[in-house]
Amino acid sequence: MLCTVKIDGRTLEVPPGTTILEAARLAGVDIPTLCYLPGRAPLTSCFVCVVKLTDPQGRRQIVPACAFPITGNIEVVSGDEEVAALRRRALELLLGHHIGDCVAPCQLACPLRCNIPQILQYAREKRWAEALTLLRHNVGLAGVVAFTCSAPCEKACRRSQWDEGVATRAVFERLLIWESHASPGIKLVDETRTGKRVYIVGATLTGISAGWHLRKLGHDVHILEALPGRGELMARLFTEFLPVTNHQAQKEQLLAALKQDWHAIVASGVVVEWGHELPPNQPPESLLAMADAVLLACGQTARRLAESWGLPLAEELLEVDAKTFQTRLPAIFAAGSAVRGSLAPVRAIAEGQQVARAIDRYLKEISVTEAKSEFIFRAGKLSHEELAVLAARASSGPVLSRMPPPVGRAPSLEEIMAEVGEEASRCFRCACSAAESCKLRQLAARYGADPRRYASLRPPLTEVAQEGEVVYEPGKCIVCGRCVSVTEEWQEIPGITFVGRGFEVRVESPFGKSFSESLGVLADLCVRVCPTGALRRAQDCSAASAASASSSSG
Amino acid sequence: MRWSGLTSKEIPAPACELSPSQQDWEFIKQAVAQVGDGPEAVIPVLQAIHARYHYLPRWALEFVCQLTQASPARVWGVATFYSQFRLRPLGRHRIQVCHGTACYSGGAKLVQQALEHHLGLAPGEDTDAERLFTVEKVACLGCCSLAPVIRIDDVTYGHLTPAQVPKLLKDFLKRHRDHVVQEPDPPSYTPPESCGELRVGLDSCCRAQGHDKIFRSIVELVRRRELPVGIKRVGCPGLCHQAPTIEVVTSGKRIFYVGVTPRTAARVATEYFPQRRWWRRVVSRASRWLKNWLGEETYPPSPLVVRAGDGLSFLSRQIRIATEFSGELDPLDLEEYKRRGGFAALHRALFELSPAEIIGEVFASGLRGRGGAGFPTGQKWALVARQHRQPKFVICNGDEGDPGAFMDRTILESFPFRVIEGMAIAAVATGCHQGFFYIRAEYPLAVLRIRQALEICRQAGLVGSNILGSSFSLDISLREGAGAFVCGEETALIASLEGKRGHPRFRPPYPAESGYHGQPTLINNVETLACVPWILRHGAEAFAAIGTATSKGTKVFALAGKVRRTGLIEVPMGITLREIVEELGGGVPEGRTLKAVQIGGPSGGCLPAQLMDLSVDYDSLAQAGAIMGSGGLVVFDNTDCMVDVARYFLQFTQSQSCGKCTFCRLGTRRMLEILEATCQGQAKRQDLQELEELARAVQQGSLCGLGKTAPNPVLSTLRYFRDEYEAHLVGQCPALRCKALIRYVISERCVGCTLCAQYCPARCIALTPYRRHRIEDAECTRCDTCRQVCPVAAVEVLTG
Repeated sequence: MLCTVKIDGRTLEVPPGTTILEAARLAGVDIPTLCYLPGRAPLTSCFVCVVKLTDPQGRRQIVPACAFPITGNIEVVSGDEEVAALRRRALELLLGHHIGDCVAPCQLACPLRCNIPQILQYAREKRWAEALTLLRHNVGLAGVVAFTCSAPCEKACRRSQWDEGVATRAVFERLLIWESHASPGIKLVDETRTGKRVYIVGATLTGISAGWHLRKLGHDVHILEALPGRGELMARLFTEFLPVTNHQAQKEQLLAALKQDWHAIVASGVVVEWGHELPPNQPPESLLAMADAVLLACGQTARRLAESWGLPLAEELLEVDAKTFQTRLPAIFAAGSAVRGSLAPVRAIAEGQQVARAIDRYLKEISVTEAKSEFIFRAGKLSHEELAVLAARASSGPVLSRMPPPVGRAPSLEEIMAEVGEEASRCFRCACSAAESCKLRQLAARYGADPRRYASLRPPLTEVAQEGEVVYEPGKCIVCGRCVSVTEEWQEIPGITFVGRGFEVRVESPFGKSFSESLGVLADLCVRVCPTGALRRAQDCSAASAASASSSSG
Repeated sequence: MRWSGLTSKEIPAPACELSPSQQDWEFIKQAVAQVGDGPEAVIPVLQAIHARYHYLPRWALEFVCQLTQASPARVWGVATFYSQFRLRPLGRHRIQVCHGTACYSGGAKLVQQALEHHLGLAPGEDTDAERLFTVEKVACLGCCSLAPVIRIDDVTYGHLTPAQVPKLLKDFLKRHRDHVVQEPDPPSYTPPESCGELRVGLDSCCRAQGHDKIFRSIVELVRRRELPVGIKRVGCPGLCHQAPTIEVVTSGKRIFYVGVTPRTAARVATEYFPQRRWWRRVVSRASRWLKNWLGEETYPPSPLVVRAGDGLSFLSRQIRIATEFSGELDPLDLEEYKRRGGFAALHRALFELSPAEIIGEVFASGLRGRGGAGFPTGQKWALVARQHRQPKFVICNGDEGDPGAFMDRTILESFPFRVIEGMAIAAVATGCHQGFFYIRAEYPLAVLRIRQALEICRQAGLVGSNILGSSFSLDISLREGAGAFVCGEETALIASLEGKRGHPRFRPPYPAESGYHGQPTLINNVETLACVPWILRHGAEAFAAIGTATSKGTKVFALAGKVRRTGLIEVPMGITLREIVEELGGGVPEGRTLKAVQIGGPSGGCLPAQLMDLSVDYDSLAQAGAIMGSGGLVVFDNTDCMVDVARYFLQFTQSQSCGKCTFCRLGTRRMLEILEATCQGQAKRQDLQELEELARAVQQGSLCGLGKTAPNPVLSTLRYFRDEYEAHLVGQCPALRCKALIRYVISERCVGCTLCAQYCPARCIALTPYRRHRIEDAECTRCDTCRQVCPVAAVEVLTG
């Protein structure tokens, strides 16, 4: 005999004994779970799968969908606000008793959201090509940035609370030196193309940056520049944007970096049309006949065009939508000095990155609201003891200083790069290894959970890292029991267990053994089933990918 | 050393982590051999180890992993879950400080502080430097009428004040040094010829009030003088507020003496049962006359209460079913139990009724589970009977953990045969052939009596194969709980029996379908089973005639708190709270007003004085926001702060949560934080809203009864005593209870007698003879001592 189940208005028939969760999945209703492990007895610990149930007798109750076996005709509500509120509260409680950074503070502080932790990770492993590719992907004008950025990343660095932050710029500079020595053979952009074309008016820093990112996203990019050639452009950028230094040698370094950036960008396939001065009476339609979108990145030209096109100007600046960078004309975008006047170089470059993403969304017809909101848990201020936990992950060498201007014999590439690996291993690796896969984070974003609501429950940041490969961070553990459950049936290994009771309950390896020893062959499986980053491999640290950084700023 | 009186020679060697000898290995091997090596044997094996070493040594745990099928993770998880187990060596003696409801309101915290101070314990340490005493907090020792209570090893001390602590430790050490080895449960004394008997209640709380001393002294006297009287050990007489009591039964008369001491008891014995030899009588008359003449003492003592006196309403309103023959039966005298109709019901169940008829009878009686939720017992039995998979199990849930409740302990201690009979009938009706008693380890006497009673029954053919010569077999074994309130929940109890951490699991499936080891299992509460024999003897109609439409029969309550008469009562369902509090309890003490009745312990609610006419039955209580619960009934008066009460209960459930589910683990913690802030006067209005919302979320989002009901004390106080919460928001505690919100001042009534200054332990009152004294508020610890000692009531407590 089949039971009729109505879930959020969808009706289906299931054999008795089917759980509500299984039925919902059959019906295509997405019920969130944290502790549920398919094929195992339900753990019913997280309570984010709660649903409202009306049984055949008409009684209403709230039950965990993962465990409730259907034995009669029932009606289930999973999608209303009451259920969402309860799920949100469960998530908020879990987040209250949680400590760690989803995304490293350096990355959050960076106007370009550069994935610094991952670059440092590659540098630690001396994988220079990967490090450099990621750097260029995140920051097209990496050379300019390395020289001009005020480095909020270094100030925000967790290590700066301990001794001195990781010298990000010093690492980037040396990576760029490595690039200048080993440039051929590094492919920065793959060849998949969308077939869409974007015109960028003005090779400003914003324009170049936007061009690079649009190219990276697979679009054809044409930069229309009034100046006749590269030399003139370099001179203009150098005087207009870059701080004038008195030191001749530094000026030369800077110019060299700018040229190196330009080279990398042009090599990626961005087309520059030199001496292309747009006539003031050029109608927008004629531009859009040739391109799918137009970005006005040069202040002067933009103003001229705006006047002739009848776009409103406020104090000489164009008005655009704050999120989409769109002007009142369709497919015409504006950014950088056209919108904000003069900007610090890093800000100008960051604006290029943002507008590129906005144009990309426009071209791919993704609405702003569809772009998913991201959830970022921040650890906030850490105590000295907690910083010591992080410090134990890093080496304690001296800070790497910026590249001195070349004097006398230039050091060999090997000498330069040797120090980079060491500096990179000063990184505390505070970003969560599971930032991308974390189910808690995904659900927190989905239900709009407020991580500060129960902040008083905050646990201390600790780490159980004995010899062996598996590291346990109690502060990230939501005590769901998935890892404990998968080890329970295996007699061959000592297994891990809950210890303590109530609020103090945590997962522990018995008799002070290391997690690796207790988990044995199941180590990988346990790390995989952990819904957060509480269990991880010792080498998996700060693997927050470029994607996470990019979506947050868009 | 602070407790002086002992030289260091007498102090035993500290129990430290010794390297195990061959003997130790052998001991553990034996323990495993006795209990078994299956995973479910972990808890009993660890208990055996714990009993020997007073903690669980690391080497022993590792050895257990080798000897049994339990994985290291299992052993470690269990060892760290139950509060009975310690992983650090214990001092020579273990002091358990009860923090049950009655003890808490009676000042358990102050007693604990005094102990810690006296033993010089560093913060975070529980054992003194000499490793003589270890001080532990315990949820409830079930001696609520003696509050506050502590237990040192096996000796229970009641009615404590902090000032008694030094003397008490000295007394204990002296007894220990003198090797006063006492029989744990002395049997009744029967002389060759007797013309009556003296009954002395010997349950754990009676003993803590000195009944065992009295018992031993009269037995000694009667033996020595060859008095013609039997001294009978009986179960709980129920008059805790008047203990120690003895009852004289002679030539059909029953006379009660209350407030007895060993001396008065001796005199009562010699008065009613004079010696047979004439010359001895002359000698004793002469000595009595001499004493009277010298004015040493008057003789004979008058009976302070006879059955027709003050205790009348206390006793006459009661109907005894589960506690039938209360105070009359020797708990372990099978013959007497049979003479009074015992095991007749089992006989009927085995030979006269079919299982379906038994269930029908229980169903018709309207008996509902007495553990708290009130599920109809007959229906539960029918569910199990319907299952055809064997083996099926029957479990008696004796894990009564509610602070403030001791009904189940008393029933187990006083009427072990009745519970066994009830369980056997349940087994016959449902077709179970294996049974378990699961009893809290904090109830050593209950464990002992049930163990002995089971042995007696086994020998009498009442338990085992072919019961009473029938074809029915039932084997019953006993398991001790290991200190976890949550194990009172049936699925957690089963997990514990299986040798796991006591984590509840989701129901359905209910244990009736899938319980112990996945087999059909019937779990009934002690009191429920104790009602069953009566129902089969008197018929379902007789039982159903008592009570209300939906709640039949009687309910046993542990009446405690601010009433004149406390004790164990059994009353018909449907009685009003007012009748219980005023007629049975004698009302609140002089000069106080009734504020609330807390019913159902940490899962229940606080009902205000205006609801006193509420009928005590499952449905009315649930509607009012409380529950029947297992039967704790604590009365509060105007000196009790309801916010503090809510905080106390939540602190209890929060510490007893198994920690599995999000809402219970974290939500109750946050609720507790808010309540603590409220008691400190630091909460804001939105905190109260958060508290209420969170309480509802915890109710909805919890798996087991513990979590679902944990917010009840908070919600019910918010519902009925919101004004008190509001007062705390503006820094006032109307009951003058919350220390952060009150201050002590001395009014102009002060005559300058200096008593307060002499007694103040914080030395915050300057000694100014003949002048008005002043309290240095910053130093004052709000210990209330000055107010208690002031002869002219000049010390006032202010709030706000």
